[in-house]
Amino acid sequence: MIPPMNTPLGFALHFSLVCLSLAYFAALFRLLKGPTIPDRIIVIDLVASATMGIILVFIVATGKTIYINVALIIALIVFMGNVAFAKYLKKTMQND
Amino acid sequence: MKKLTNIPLRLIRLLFFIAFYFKELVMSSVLLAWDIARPRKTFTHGIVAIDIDLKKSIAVMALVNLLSMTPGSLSVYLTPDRKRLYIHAMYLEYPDRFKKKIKNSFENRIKRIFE
Amino acid sequence: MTEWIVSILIILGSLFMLVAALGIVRLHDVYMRMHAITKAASLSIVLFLLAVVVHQFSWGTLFGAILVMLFIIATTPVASHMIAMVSHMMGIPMSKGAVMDELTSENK
Repeated sequence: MIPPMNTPLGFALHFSLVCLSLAYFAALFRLLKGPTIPDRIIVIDLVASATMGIILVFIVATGKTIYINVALIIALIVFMGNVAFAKYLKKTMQND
Repeated sequence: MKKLTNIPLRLIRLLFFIAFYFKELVMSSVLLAWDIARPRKTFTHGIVAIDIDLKKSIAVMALVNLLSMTPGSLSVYLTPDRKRLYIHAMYLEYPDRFKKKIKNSFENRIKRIFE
Repeated sequence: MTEWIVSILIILGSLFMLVAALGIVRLHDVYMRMHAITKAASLSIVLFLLAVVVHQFSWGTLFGAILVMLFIIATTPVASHMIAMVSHMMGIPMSKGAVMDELTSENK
């Protein structure tokens, strides 16, 4: 599926998968350590970006361009999620 | 009559604006990469306020989105009457120069396209 | 030739994703981490989309890629604006080196 390592495309795909998984680990670190709630919310954005990146790399590797719709749906849902979290935090703060 | 002749010019300016937007996005990412690769240092950052006088809401939205994509600035709060915008800036050695740059470069550009 | 362009685009995109990930680990407070997420991650997604369009060109793919690109470019700043606003309202302090805060000093 992924071309071998000594072609340029194969090297690029392997390299990008390594970088994207490092992004997941960075997100996990900040999710566990982050001192405040907004620190943990912006992790969602990074995880969603890394997932979209993996889907796009998968499209380049296999040629199934139909999966670009998945990236669109993820972008949509993450925007909704961020706005919902912001509204929720605002509301809980006003009630206190 | 005047409006009809203005539409192609406005479209051309919109295309230039999109190109400018992408240029700003690339430049800010490169600057951020340079900043992260360097060893730990303290940033001179802070929140500054600027007055904006744009009337249409789409122009205000374009300004806020563009500001979030420019090197070292992130819009934090917009007053409900859309007159004053608070920006978190990362490189704030000279606040007056920063405010003047936003006023002259970005706001005038958006005003020429959308209003 | 196409293969080389696609490879360079993918490598650049993953480097910018790495910049976003390192930024979220290394920068000092919420506002600066939001800088990293907003700029570098959206640029990286744009580069990956360009790689997909160059590698498998068809009009449907181009349309989908432009749609995703417009959506990312239009909504990521709005989301980070809202979260920055809420985190300032919650009173999260800025890290060392903050020189001015006109939002707090003017509204009190």
